[in-house]
Amino acid sequence: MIIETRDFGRIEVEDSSVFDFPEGVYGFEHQRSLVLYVHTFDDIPFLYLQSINDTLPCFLVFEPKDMFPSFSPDIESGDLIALGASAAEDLTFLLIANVSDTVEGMSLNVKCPIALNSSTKKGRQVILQNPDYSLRYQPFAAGEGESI
Amino acid sequence: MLVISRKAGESLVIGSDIVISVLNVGSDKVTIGLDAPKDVPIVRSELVDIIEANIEAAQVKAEPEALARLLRAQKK
Repeated sequence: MIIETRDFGRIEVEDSSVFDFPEGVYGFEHQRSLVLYVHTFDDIPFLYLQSINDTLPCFLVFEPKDMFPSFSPDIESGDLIALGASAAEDLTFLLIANVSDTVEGMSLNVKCPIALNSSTKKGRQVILQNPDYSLRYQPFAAGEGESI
Repeated sequence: MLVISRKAGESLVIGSDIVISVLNVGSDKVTIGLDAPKDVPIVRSELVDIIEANIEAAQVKAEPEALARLLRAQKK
């Protein structure tokens, strides 16, 4: 299908990459269909999660393995049920990036990732129980990034 | 902060049309009932931060060019 994106105008996306978010995401509760698409720049694939019905929300997202390798989500059973999954291993987690400051100051929401179930095509923003996970983890801030 | 003690079944009123009722008191949890006009948003306080973070993240465009440069520098 063709959608209007926030950053790249009209683009074609795979229907199979559209996820149903029955409760939207926080702050955008009415946007229930979000598509995950890749925009490759300079050989680096950037992942975006974008509403198919509006230009917002649009999130730049990263896989935890690239930015927060020790990621080990402690997810509530209610979230698993909502996603139609039996364990966290059935899900793909994505961390929402916030680059409102500078790219070096980019923060990632490790506390509330997007969880996707590619079998049921359901998505949900979950609040992890991990006590140390931050809403604004800065992977590139001096002294804060995990060593990879 | 105003501190008021209430028992299960008791309530308090804010302004003329917001009523907060204590429905049940458990060992580590209270169940609260809220009656307020529809236009008064009620959100768990921990969610306020999450909503703010999302709205901020959703509205600012990341320049792929600058990001790519940064990611390349990190990998070196």
